[in-house]
Order: sequence, then C-alpha cells, then structure tokens
Amino acid sequence: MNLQPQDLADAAAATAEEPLMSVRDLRVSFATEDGLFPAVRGVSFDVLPGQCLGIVGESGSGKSVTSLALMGLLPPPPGAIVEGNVHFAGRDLRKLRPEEMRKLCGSEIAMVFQEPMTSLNPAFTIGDQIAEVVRTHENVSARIARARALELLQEVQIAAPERRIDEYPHRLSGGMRQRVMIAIALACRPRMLIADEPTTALDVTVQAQILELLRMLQGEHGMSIMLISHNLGVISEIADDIAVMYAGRIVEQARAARLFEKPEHPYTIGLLGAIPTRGKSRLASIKGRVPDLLSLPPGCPFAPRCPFMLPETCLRAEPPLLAIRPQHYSACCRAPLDQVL
Amino acid sequence: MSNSTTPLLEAKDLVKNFNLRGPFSRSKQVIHAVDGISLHVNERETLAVVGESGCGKSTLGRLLMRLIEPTSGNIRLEGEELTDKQGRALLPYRRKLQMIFQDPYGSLNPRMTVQETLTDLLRIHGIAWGSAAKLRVGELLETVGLPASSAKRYPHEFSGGQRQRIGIARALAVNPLLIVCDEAVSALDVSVQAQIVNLLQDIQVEFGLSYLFISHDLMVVRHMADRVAVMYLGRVVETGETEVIFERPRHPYTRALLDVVPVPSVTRRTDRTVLKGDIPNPLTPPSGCHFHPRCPFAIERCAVEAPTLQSTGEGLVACHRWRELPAWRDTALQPGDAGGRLERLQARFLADNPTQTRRVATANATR
Repeated sequence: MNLQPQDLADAAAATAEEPLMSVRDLRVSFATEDGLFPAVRGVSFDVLPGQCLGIVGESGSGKSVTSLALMGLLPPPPGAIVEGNVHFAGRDLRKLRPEEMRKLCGSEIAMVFQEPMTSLNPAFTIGDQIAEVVRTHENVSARIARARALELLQEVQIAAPERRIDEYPHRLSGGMRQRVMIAIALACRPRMLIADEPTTALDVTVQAQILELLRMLQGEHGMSIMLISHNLGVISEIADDIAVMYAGRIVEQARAARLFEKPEHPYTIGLLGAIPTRGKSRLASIKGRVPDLLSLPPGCPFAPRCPFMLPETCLRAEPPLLAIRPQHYSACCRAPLDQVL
Repeated sequence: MSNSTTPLLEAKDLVKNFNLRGPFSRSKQVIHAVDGISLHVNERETLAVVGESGCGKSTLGRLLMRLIEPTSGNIRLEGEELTDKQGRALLPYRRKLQMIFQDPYGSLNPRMTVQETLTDLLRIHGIAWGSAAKLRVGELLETVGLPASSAKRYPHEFSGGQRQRIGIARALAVNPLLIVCDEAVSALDVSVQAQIVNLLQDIQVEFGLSYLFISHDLMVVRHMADRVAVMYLGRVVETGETEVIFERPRHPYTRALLDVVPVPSVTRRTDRTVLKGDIPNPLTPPSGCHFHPRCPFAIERCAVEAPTLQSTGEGLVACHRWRELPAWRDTALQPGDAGGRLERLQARFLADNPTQTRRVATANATR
C-alpha cells in the first residue's frame, strides 16, 4: 500500500524543474452507510510548469474525486475525509484558510467541468458572468471588466464575440458554452487549469476544436494543464505525461509516447487492447469488472482480472508504484512485463 | 425466406418532418430530421450509420423500427411493404426487427424481474409459455454471458454493462433477423464496451443476424461494420464499404470526421483539418449542400444547388467537387508496437477470455 514518493521526487530532480503542483499520498474516503468508501487510496504526482498531465481511468477509478480534492471542493468531514499533501507553487493547499483557498481558486488554479450548462447561470448573460469573475479577483471598473470579457471571448475563438457577449447561455451550442467556461477559467490568467472530461459531452468535430484551444493555451501562455478523461485517445492529443488510475490508485505513469509504445501495467495493456484500432479482428476485453472498494481483498486489486497473475506474489500484498526505468512507473509485481512473454 | 437478391431491410426515399409550434407563435416551423434517405441492409450484414448529434441517425433507426410514422417513403422487410401496416398487423414484423438502446435502464421496467420481463415478451409473441419460457430465459441469459440465476433479479441490481447484456437478451428472445443498435455501446467504459462489442459480434455469427449500427464512434464502426452510411443534417452524404469509407473517403465531411478521431498514438498529426463552427441549427439548414458553410472546398455552386448521391465506382457520395479533392492519405496512426510486444501481451487477454458459450446455438437454429 505504500507509495514511493522519493521516486517521483527523483524524477522531478532529474528534469531539474520545480513542480508547480505536487501531490503526495492523497487519500479520500467517503462516509457511507456501509462504512468508509476509499475512493482515492494514495495518489502521488507532480505537474511541472507548462506541462500537461493526463489522468485516465474508467468510472469509479477515483480520477474526478482526485481533482475535486485538490481544489478543496469535497464536502467537509464526515462527508469526505481527505488526507495527504498538496503543494502548489510552494504553498500547502491543505493548510490554507477557506478565504485564501477561494482566492487561489480562479486566480491561480482554474477548473473546467464536463457539463458547461450546469456551471453557467442561466439568468445572466455570458458577458456578465465573465466580468463578474474578473471583478471578484481584480479591483477594476465594470467597463474594464467588460472589455476584458470581450478579449477573453476572442481568445477562446468564439465567432462574433461582440454579439455573443450579451447572449444568455441557453442560446449557445454545447461547444460554445464550453468555450465560455474556458474563458471564465482564463479570466485571471491562472498558472494551472484542471479540465475534468472537458469534451465528453461534445461531438467529435467540436471536441477537436476544444482540444486544439487547450493545446494553444498551454503553448502560448505556458499554462500547466491537468486533463482528466476516460478516453485514452483524447488524453493522447495533448498530454505530455499520462497517469493511469485503477481502483483509486495510479497503477502506471509515464511519458505519453512511452506509455503507448511500451506499457508496463496489465491494466494499461488491457485498456489499449479494448480500443478498436485498424487491423484488430477481436478486441482484447478485460474479463470481470472493477472491484468493490468497500471490500477490497488483499493483494493487487487488478489480480482477479489479470492474465499475468501469479497467486503467490500478486494476491499477497498490493504492489507499490515503482520506477521500471527513469520516468516510467508501474504498480505491478510482474513488471517489467518482457519477462512474462 | 427471401432470396439472395432482395435485401433484408430496404428503405426508399424516407422522409420524417417534425412540426414545431411554440405556444405563442403562429408560424409553423418544420425540422427535416430525415430528408429523403434510401438504404438497405443485407442478410448477416452490419450497416453502420454515423454522424454527429442532430444528424437524424436516431430518427432513422426509429423510423425503420416503425416506432414513429414516416412522413413519406417506403420501408420493406424481406421484400414486403411495411409502411401501410398498422397496429396488430405489424406484430409479426416486430419480431423480426429488434432494437437495443444506449440506456438499457430506461427501457427495462424497474418493477419487473428480468425473468418477468423476458417471459412476458415470449408470451406476447407466442414463442413459449410456463416452464418452457423459464428455461428459454435461462438460455438467453447464458447466451449473453450472464448466469441463469440472474433472472430473479431486478434491473437496478445490475451494472451498466450487465444491463446492456439484458437489453441484448431481450432483443434476441424473439429470434430477430435484424437488430437496430442505437448507440448501444456509447455510454459504456472502454473495457466494458469491448466486452459488449465482442458479444455482438459473437451472436451475429451464431444467429446469422444483421445489424443497423447507429453510432458516432468511428473507431467502433470501423471495427464492426461491413458498410457505412455517413449522415449530415438529415441526409446521407457518403456511403460505401467500410474499408473504402475509411481508406478512400470522398466527401469532405467524412474526411473531417476521420481527421479528428482521437486515436491513442505515439505521434501526433499536424496536417489535419479541424472544422470551424458547429453543426447548423436543423430548423434553418444552410441552402444548397448543408455542409457548405463549414466545408474547406466549398464554391458558389455548393450554396445554391444541393448535390445528389452519385456513384464513385466504389460507393456513393453527395458532393459537387468529389473528383477535384486532393488525394487522401490514410494517416490513422497506430500505437507503435516495437517487435509486436504489445500485441503478444494483449493476446494473453484474449486467451483469458474465450468466446461466449455456444450451447444455445442449436435451440435457435430452427428459425
């Protein structure tokens, strides 16, 4: 169960860059009628300045809860119990007072969610909503705030922004609403953007536009992005590093190219096999289903579904996330997997 | 049975208009959800209908199922005209056409056990009663990879993937010839989606089924379909064999869709076209070719004259300029796999997960 934070620290030292956000041994549990539900069970990662970290996982893997916990958006205990360390630009986020956290959220870290309609207020024009964010964080006049809103709409490439600025959210398409959400997120020039399934509800052509916009923002403003998605294809479009989550933990993390070329965790291999690509006659589906986190058996949580499982090693203790080679981590007793072939 | 030349299911010039009328408006607005579509599905064949939201692909599926009435056009099943049949007269045909939905939970009665749902269905279609029906339910559940004991459970006790299996069992219960799959695997997690895709392929071979596979997911379509029809705002813009559509697409919209499919790959494409703007409001579709405002190849003629489907020798395409488009490079990138390592590792997953049970095959062979 114990992670190896020093490995990740080594990797950060190797690239000789101070991480913008660094998360160590994050744990989140929810109090339920059936007992404590461990949604996130010890997650550690770094996000470097200007880097995009992709977090991929299926439903219930804990990827969204991780992002909510980072932003302090989970209900206070006894609802959710959050443990671990989250450092952002030298500050310990877990020790900030609520008003300090509120100030930081929006101005330095911003977040974009899957369903933009529920995040926008239907009773105000989008111009008002963007200007409100500007005025909350900066002491400027209403006129300047409106001018900033217009600039932001141009920046997220909304067509005819001077006309759109006075429209209500319901008049906009899903793709445009998501652009407005990104404009709001960018209002205070944050250093980091957390995007939780930002394109999942959108059509593929619009999804491509939004991903292109995120890539441009990362490139031009040097913004760090944490992109959370269930779709490995979407993640591969912009992520530099990819972390694969399963049952509340990161089971593999590597540079994007490395992960697709030489994955070292059986779950990643199964996921890649389950995606239809040209030339596959049959999809390599993973048998069974995700384990119930309320009653996790000892050993590797993926073992019951794993074709490489060895009862004597895999069922005894949960394998820690270890470096297979520099910047490539896998939580598998049998890694590197070349030895099982 | 039909002979080999008549397609199993055939639609001709199918039109469905929805009249919209706001509570305060006198003007009548019309949405041309399906705007003159002709297609056919052969025996044991999978025809995929792809397109983005609002293109009318689900309306098309519902029309073919006769869940909604077409405004005009004909539907034929095994050469027999369905369009003029109503109510009870449709029952024998409903047995031959079944449907699987995106959200099986919405189509299962929460107060009925799986057993009750399925035995009801068998009774209504006069297939089996009493203990024979119970036996058949057990067989059906095992065919779709669920234990026979799950018959006593209620829909809410199942996971999303298991519910979709129940939806498939229900469609199979009446020995259909064709199943309309409306985004049947879209809401599922990748690993579950792969299980259901494999199951659909297994039962297609086992029972000789045809599929009309409605989906927005081009990767799944490429994997499943024999032929593909691409829709845009109520019209088919291109149709042909799957390999032709994916390797030599002629329509700019098909190309744009293929360009933006996110593929998990090592290298990133740089030369792709990302379409500008959104899909137009179907209430006020653009003049001429519906696609012209977003089309990088549009000329004046495209805004005036709507192109009709014409033969390219390999398929049909509705574009004035299909002959002049630049050559297409099939650049769909594959994850790099040095020495076939990944493939060999994935083969272990396949070996671990053999094809579904085939023991029910004999029970259904007598169709």
